[in-house]
Amino acid sequence: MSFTFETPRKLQTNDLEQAAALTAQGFGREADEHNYQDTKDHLDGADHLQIVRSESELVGFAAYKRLLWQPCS
Amino acid sequence: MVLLPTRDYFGNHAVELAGIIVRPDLQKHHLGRQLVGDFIAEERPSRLVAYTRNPALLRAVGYACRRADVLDYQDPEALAEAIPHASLEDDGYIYHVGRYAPNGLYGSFDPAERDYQGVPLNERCLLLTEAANALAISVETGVN
Repeated sequence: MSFTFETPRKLQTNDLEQAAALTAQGFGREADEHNYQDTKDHLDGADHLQIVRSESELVGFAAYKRLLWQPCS
Repeated sequence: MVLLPTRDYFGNHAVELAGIIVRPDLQKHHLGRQLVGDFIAEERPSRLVAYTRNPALLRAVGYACRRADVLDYQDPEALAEAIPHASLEDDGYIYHVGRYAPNGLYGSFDPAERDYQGVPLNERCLLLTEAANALAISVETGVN
């Protein structure tokens, strides 16, 4: 099985539905409003998404939130 | 050092890994570690932060940052102070206490029961016996 790792990109609103369906599978549940909320919670504040596909199907993703790192003075 | 949430910062930066989801039948294919490794290579963050109960995420971050054990801290007090919402607890590990709802994030399945470094994670990190708690990690990526 071959995988395609997409370049990290900004999270878009329409990513949420696909991500919710995958999250439901990942948690072993039916995709429903509860899982949609789980996904929203999971991605809360995330600004970048990185997707992996197999034959164009979304099979995984990682979500990231940027932080500002300031060394202590 | 201090870590602050920001939406628009694209300089020398830290990144919170908010989560990895992989289709269950593909979870032994090391997709998580490759996702994290590719992200570090592409975006070159100085540091990766994550909150988790899942040993698979610890392994993915460790592999990508070339750290055998991401819970082996050099200066836990300073690290805990730098991670948002984190505290150093009596067992010597850094947590976000009460990160999730009382029943936890995962329902009846709890990945903290799985091994990390040969020991069930919730036996090494004792506050993980409470489903609402998460480990807080912050690992230098080795780039920049």
